[in-house]
Amino acid sequence: MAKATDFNFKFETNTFTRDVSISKDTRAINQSITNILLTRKNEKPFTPGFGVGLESMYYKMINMNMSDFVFLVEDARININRYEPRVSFSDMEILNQDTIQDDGNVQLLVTYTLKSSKNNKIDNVKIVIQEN
Amino acid sequence: MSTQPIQLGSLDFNDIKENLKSFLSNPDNELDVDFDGSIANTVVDLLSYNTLYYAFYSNMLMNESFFDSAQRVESLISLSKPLGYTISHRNASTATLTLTNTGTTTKTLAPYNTSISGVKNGIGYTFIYVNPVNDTDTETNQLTPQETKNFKFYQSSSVIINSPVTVDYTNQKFNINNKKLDPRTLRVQVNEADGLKDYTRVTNTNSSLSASSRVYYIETSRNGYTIYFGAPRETEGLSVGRGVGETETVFISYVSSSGSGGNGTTNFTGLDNETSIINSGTVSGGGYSSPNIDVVKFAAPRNFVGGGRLVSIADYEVGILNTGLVTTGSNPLNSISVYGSNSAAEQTPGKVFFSLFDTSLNSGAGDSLPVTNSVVSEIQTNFAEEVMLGTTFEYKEPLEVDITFTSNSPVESFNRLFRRGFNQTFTSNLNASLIKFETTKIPVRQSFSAFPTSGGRFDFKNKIFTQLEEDFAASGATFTITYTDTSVTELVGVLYNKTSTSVGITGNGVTLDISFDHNTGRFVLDPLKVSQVKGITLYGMPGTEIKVKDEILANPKITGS
Repeated sequence: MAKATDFNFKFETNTFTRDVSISKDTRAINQSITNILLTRKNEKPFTPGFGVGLESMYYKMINMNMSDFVFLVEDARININRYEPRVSFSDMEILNQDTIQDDGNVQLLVTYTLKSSKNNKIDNVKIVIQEN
Repeated sequence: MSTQPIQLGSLDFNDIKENLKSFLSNPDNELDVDFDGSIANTVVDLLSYNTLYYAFYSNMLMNESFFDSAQRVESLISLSKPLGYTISHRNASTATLTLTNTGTTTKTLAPYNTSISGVKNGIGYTFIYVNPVNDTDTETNQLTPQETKNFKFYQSSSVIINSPVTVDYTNQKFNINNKKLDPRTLRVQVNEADGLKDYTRVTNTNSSLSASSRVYYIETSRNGYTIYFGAPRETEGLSVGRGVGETETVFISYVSSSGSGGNGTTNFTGLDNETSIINSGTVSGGGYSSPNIDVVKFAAPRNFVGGGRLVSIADYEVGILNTGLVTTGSNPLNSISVYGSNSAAEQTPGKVFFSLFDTSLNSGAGDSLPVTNSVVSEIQTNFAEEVMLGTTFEYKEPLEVDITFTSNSPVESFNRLFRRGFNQTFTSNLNASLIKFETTKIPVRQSFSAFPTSGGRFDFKNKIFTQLEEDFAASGATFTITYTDTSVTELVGVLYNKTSTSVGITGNGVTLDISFDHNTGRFVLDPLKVSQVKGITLYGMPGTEIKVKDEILANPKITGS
């Protein structure tokens, strides 16, 4: 796959180079997808449609019915396909559907296809949304 | 780093972002700035926003520093101060009512106290009588038995009467932190050793002012108004007004209003049984809640140039505008027309004519003021002592003309090309065939002698003319007059030829006055044959140059597509 290079999400210092840490390849893409999914709509200046806003949906998701979740997945698909053109969105599912209330968090698994990889490699990123 | 220079002229957010992305994109730097979800892209967003913020700030700073480009009222207030122009934060809606004293004793309207009520959309509004600014005539507010007079009432949400103020005696000033007050209603009085004295508002200093002149100056401030007396303690030079002593108290009275909220009030009642309101159905108007910046930009520089004197046309225009008696749109020249008699049909020297069109009348559609309107006489009275020696200041009723555009583009060209619109010359840039001048409202005053009863000349559009050297017929332009003859049959006459002998209009009883310039619209009407003029129309053709000047006031409008 083509090289993907991005700043580390936490802007940590690389102890060897004393420069900002860099995330590469799948980690960089996973960071990008996480960024898209957690950004609230209207949060990014002059790009009001950007983001899904999962971070603020903890309470909504613990009691979410299937039709609402389908809409959420559709929103994620549109956003990821539009703003992260290196991947093709495949699916998003809740991993701990039955134990959300006990866990106190929602664990989401986003599956995608890396477009530039040989054999269309499928990868995924796990996002945990906690009560905030 | 990139070899691409940053485009500093691009101030749109997306352009700035693209510039930064282009600047950051190079083979040594493989950051994913192109992907919106990436952290690098978020950093670029941040930089772009910061750049945009400062670009906008610089732009605003520059724009607000100059009169032409300023948009904020606060900026215009500051910029107007060196020009000696006072901006009103808010003006009260007013109604000029005609009162008749049907009793046997003289009635006196008490300033700030006599009130009437009007209704607008079922809500009652109070209007207060206030003397005109600087009015010292003790009979202004009196109505003798059987007398009928006009009085101006100001819409009032609250009234302050003789309220003492805290004066900065060192700097001889005090603040009124009330943006709702109408400066036209402000009265300043000082309790001097020998009683309460009225102070007169002046707008500029002149040689007639001395240390004993009872005057004050008003300046607009951020929160309201600042009043100055002319004798600050610590200053060089002569006093330009009497200073207020520390043992003296200053009292102010004024009306606060609802601004434009009071416009449209009617059905006025509330005076005693012996004072009748003749025109109780008058609709109030002229109020505004915030100043129109276009009007400020028009008036302030002209006010400075005029210096309070009435010499040029602009002096008169600004003087009339500053009286606040006429409500205008964003371009006051569409409502106030001043011109010399040498350019009028009469062509006699020594007269200054003015015509007024008040946009607040006729339920907001605007209407011209007849000579009998009190505003006309009030303006003439105000200016009586300032008009230059040897000239007279007279009112000429406007001849309203509808300027009809049959497509959208000419009206824009019209407005863009001609600041004064109807007082300018059309050139071939404007396709005159798309424009029609038409009037159906012809005041009797517009006619010479006593038309139509004793014949004479009807002076229509004395400054509308085509400048074609050839005949009207040859040019394709037509100049028609619609009238009814004595049998009440409607006829249309057409000016068709320019040659001196055959100049004229077809139709019975109408010819062009050949003693006047051939191609001006001055008709001679035969009273035995013409009973009523219904309207006059001029159609220009491409290339026709049409001048519409002076007393003609009109609002362009678009018909058709």
